[in-house]
Amino acid sequence: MLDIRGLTKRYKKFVALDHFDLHVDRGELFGFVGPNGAGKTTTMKIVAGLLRPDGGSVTVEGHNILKERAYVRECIGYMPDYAGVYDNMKVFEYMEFYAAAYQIQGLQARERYQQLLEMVGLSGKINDYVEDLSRGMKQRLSLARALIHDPRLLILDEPASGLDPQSRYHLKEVLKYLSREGKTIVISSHILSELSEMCTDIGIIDKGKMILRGSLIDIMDQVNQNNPLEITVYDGMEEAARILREHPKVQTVSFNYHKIVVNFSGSHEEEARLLNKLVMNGVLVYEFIRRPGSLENLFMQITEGKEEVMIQRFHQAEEGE
Amino acid sequence: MKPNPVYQMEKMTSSRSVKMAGIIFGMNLLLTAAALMMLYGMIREIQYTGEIPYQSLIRLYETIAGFEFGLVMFIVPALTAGAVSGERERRTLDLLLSTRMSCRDIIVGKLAASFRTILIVTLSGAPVLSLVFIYGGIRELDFIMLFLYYIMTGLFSGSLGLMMSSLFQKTSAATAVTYTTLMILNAGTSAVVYLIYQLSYMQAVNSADYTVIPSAGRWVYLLLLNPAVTFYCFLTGQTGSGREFGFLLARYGTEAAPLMNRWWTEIGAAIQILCTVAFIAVAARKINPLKGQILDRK
Repeated sequence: MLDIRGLTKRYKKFVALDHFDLHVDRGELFGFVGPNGAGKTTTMKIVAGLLRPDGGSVTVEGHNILKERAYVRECIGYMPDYAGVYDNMKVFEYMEFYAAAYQIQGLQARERYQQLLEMVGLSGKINDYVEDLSRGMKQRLSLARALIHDPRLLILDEPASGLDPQSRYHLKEVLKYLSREGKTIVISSHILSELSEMCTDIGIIDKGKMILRGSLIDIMDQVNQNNPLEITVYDGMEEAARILREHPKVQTVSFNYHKIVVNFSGSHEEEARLLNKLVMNGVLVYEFIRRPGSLENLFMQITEGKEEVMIQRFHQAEEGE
Repeated sequence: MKPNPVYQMEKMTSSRSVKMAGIIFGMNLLLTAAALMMLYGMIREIQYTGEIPYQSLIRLYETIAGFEFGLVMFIVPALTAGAVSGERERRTLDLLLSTRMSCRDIIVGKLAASFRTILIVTLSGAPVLSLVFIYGGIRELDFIMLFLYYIMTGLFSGSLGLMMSSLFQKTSAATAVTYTTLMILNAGTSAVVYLIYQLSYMQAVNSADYTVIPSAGRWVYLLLLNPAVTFYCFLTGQTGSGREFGFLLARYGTEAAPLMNRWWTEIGAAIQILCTVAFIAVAARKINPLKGQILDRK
């Protein structure tokens, strides 16, 4: 659906994007995360045709965004992190205006915006002036605006910034619904937890480069893999120690009374087999757990300069599979 | 043909704003005050002399027409200089540019909205200008031509404001540069030609054989860029003997080539129309995110 290759963009001496690559498949809800100034907005503005890249290529459904702008505009819905409203304009007039900008008029426009306002929970505000809406409502209106021409790809640049928890929840539910409806969504945020609750895939960008990209399940697995196994043994400590020391996937073992902390590089299946082996050899296992890793910690580690280690581990693990 | 969405939106929002009503009221207040004061002076003169000076009625027409020309020239940019930069300030320009509308559609929509304002403002002043029909002396055709001239002037100054608005991030900067440009065109070109004439005059005075005749020479054609001079030529063509414009050029010790003198209004108007088209093209190019670059971005 969206293919970005070798994208570069400079603002004078500042390199915003440095040979940036990204591929998003149809139907993905892709979370684009990175610290402020990482290059998220620049990427999104380039994809939306609002900024000229210095190099590289961007294609949407195989169409180059620089050469086939009309086609690309038809299939992209862009929502920035601000609502962008006009004074003296009512909600329905705002929607009618943007519908007309896509040459949707009359009854067709009316039906479309009524449906969208219903979806974002603003059907009761149809005759209100846009400037009188709360920030959360304006953001939801902005989402409805971005959907007025029924785009196949939605580019949402920090849509939840500055929203209260209730508005965030509402927005999240709407995005999940749109994803189920088959829309491809690229959503950015500098708050990872915000994306991890709804995205199918995430990418971490820092200093203009994509430093980690994968499905949320795979990434979480890899994050978890980096955490040690914690085994609490009721009886049979010596036997447990022998088994663990002999296991090829066990890297380090430490003992603390009844608790054993093991750095284990095996898969889920190997974890289960290890537990089975311990039990079959008469070790009374009271607890066997791999503490879930935190995506936030991974993000912090990566963006604080430990990325190479993390990516290396990630790739090693991928190759291992 | 489908209506331009930007024009429709501007029409709707401006009709709800007090700005438009304020402009119409303010302009007609000034126009009426000027006209009534002149009419009062004329009536007083008639009371004293018992003569009806028809020439004064023509002066009334000239004064009101000139006053309205100045208002159109300087009010319209106030509306358009914020047209694009205002969209940037409201952060709605990117939203517009991400739609199916082309950059040209957006600029044309904005200009069409200001054109509508020009029409309303100039037509609202028509009753005041019609005072001249009390005694006659001006034909209906002259009246229509005058309004067409106003529209051309409004489009010229409006598109200049629109271009500056697309070149600058802030409305204040765009407005300041627009008015500076208008001042340069209306006063600066005259000043340059006058300065060149003065230099020539000094050379003539200092010359030993007194054979040098002071003249601004071909620099006088710089006045073709001056909308006020072209308007003067147009207006005196309607109300005077047709020689007034020649007298104006004679002040600079020169005269235009006969052909230029004859077609000065048409050539000046054509230059303004060409400039209008160029301003619109530049504005459309400058708001194109893949081509343009604004000047005052830090």
